[in-house]
Amino acid sequence: MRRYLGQAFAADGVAIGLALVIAVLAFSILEPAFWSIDNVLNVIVQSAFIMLLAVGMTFVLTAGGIDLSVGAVMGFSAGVSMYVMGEGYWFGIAILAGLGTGLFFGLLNGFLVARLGLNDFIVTLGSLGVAGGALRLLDSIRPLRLERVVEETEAFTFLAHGKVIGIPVPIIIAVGVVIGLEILLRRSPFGRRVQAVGMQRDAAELAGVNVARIRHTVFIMAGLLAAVAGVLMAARLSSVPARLGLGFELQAIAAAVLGGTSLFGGRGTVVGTALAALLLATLNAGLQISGVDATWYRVILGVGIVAAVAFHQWTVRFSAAQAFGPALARPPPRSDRRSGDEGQKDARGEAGP
Amino acid sequence: MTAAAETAPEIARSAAEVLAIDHLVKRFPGTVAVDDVSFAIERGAIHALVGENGAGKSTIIKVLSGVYQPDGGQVLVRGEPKRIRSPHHAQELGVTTIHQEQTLIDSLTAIENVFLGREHLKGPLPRVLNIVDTGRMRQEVLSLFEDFEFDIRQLGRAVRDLSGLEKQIVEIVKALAFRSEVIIMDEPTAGLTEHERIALFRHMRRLQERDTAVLWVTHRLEELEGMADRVHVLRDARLVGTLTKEEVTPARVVRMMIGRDVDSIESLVAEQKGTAAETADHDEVLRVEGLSRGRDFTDVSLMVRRGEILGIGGLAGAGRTALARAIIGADRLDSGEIHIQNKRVGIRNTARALTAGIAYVPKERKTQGILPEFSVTRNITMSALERFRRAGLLNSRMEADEADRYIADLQIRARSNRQPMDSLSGGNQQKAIIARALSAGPAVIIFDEPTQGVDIGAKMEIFKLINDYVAGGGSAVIISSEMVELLGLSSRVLVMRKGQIVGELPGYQKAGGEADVHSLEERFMALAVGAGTA
Repeated sequence: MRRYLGQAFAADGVAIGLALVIAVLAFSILEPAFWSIDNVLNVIVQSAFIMLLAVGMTFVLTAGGIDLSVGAVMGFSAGVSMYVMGEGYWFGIAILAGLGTGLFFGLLNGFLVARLGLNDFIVTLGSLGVAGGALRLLDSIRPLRLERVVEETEAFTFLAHGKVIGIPVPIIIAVGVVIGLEILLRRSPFGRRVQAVGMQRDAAELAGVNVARIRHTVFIMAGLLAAVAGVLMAARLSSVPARLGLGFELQAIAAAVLGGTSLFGGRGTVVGTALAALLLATLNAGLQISGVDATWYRVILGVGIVAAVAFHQWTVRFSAAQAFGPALARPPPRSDRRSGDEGQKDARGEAGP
Repeated sequence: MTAAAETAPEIARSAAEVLAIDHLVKRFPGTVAVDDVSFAIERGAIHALVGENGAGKSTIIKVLSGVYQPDGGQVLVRGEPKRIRSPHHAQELGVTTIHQEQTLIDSLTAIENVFLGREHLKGPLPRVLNIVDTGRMRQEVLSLFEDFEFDIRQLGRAVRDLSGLEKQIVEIVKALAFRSEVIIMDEPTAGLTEHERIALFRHMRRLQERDTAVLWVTHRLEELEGMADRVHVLRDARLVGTLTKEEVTPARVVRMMIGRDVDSIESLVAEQKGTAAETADHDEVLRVEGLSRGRDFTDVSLMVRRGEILGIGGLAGAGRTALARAIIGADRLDSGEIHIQNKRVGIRNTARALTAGIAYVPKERKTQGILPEFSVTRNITMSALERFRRAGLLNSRMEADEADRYIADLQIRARSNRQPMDSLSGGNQQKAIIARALSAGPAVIIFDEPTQGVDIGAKMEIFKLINDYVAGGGSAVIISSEMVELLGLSSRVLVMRKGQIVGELPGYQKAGGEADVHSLEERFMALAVGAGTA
């Protein structure tokens, strides 16, 4: 019985889906207003931004890396598209400028990490600083908000406020991205390679995987998805605060890890990430509606990350011990993951001088 | 075969017994790892512990070194029952284990490693603030290091710069400095070259002269003869017998280990003699010219024909693996050309190499071969993913069919194709990785130490696999530190030394008789260590 329970919980998204249902029920009982259509849609739209960031993060983490810059890149992309809107360009140009900004940071992060072999933690921490600073510079040139409401700006804000057959546009975009990327991760050769690279980078390379290209690609994806979130954010807020995106990387990591993606690479789930993003948005909205101080949300976030990691190690260990004997009854040895770049040289064995 | 038939007469318990296990039992959820095993080790004796992977050797070692607690039976140290609480406690009791994975700290010197955690200090300050008295530490172990033929000029160098043998000596000296009476050596010769192995055996004899007992775990059964005073053979968690020095022959040990007769390496050699298939007129499959890379290797040229096995021998550090890695695009070349089937190819990464037709079976299986959490199926299909697509997406049915075919063909023992790779035994993991290479349909496969750390049964199966592959029109390059394996499998053997090819020899297949074989082996060794030319 316990064995099946352990295995069921280990399956992607089951535990997090359960937590989501419990949270929704709890808030509905505490505050009946929570369960109104408007509020539910609002919560889902709120979650869409984190969801997009976290899905990109899921690919980076699964490939054994980390991208701390996604929040800042989202903010800067939002700022750039807003700036271009403010200059009076066609809204399509503004969208492309925002996406281009994310693409640029993704390409740059990926190049420095995957091609030059720099440490991803340091590189993306640097990008976080650069993108965050750039947004403030932009803001100091001209306030980043939509000032006149004309046809053009309406087309832009439609991205966030519009509805197609009654469903808000951000939800349609997020659901499309989640479904598409879940299939990509689970069923495509690319997704399989992403997992292999995160699981054992040297083995993947020697099995013929172009490791540098895979790692480069996941950073590009993270940057681009951050930009999508940024453009939607700009459209929704109609003004971009100079500190937009600050701390979003923490929420993105939390959503990915809560959803069942391993911080150490090799295992990831887009659907789990999406459910966890939904859970975080539910908690945030629920706490607000219940009149709880917003700071508690950050505490819950921190506790949630640690609890999720502990929980996953428990289920992995438990179901493995039951099914395959003692060899697996331990957390996998992962000490080399974070220092992979230095480790590669040693792993070459006799090739050293 | 009954256990009793092979068991040596019980040795009377005596004061000479320094370490013994008595009806030892160790269980894990769902399995018994050690089932009622008893034996005793006397002072100054070399005891070998052999068995296939999973037979229980490492569990016994872990009980003796205090990592696991027994579920039944007891451990006796100098005749007294003891509960060994931890590896530290084991050392206090005089039992030191030298693990297969080096436990030395790479960045520290030999002496610092020996005294790690027990440094002699000098100066007036409280302990944690004090200066390490290197001079006194050096003085204390100098003679020990000299006894073991350790070049004392190396004492001040970081351990990472030492050879495999030198590291073993540091471990031995460390154990002796702890006043150990028993040293447990887990596969001490793994990764050592032929002459380092011989030196290590000399050192084991020296330990014997010092009255230190050795419990020695090895896969290489040909090492046992003449070295081990007793050989304890495990099979399926039980002790199937203990052989005395006089009784030990590799064939007999193998028979006990696997419970059936198999070809030993000798019979492989005998089989290969005079069987060289004529491949001289076959097409060239792989030709490399003038390959150089930094200090790893210089101006290496070689050629492999269809249906041929080319061996590459040499000491550790001769540049063999570096050469293989550069050919498959894992490391960059400084200069040189690679031709596949007479077409020059540019290989910038391993994906290109695979497309060009070169697959690689890496030597460090655990870190460079397996994808541990993936299923057997996913491990096998990894190098040929594009073939299992339907409408752009991976088709799990097609993948499973491919895996099942190889599981059957290569006799990979797995409960199902969905079993995680890291729960397979070493030999079966290796077969799955060979299946991965075969599945990519390459023109040539480079095998790097293909039988390292696999048991004898799996070893013979791997030999057969390689032979079948080339008989079916493939080509192979084999890098191996086991001379018999290298000369036995290959039709030609290139010998590398210090990054260069120093000679070419025929394999056993071309050898006529015993004398021929012997002189071939001598020429091989001479080339590898640099004492002669071909």
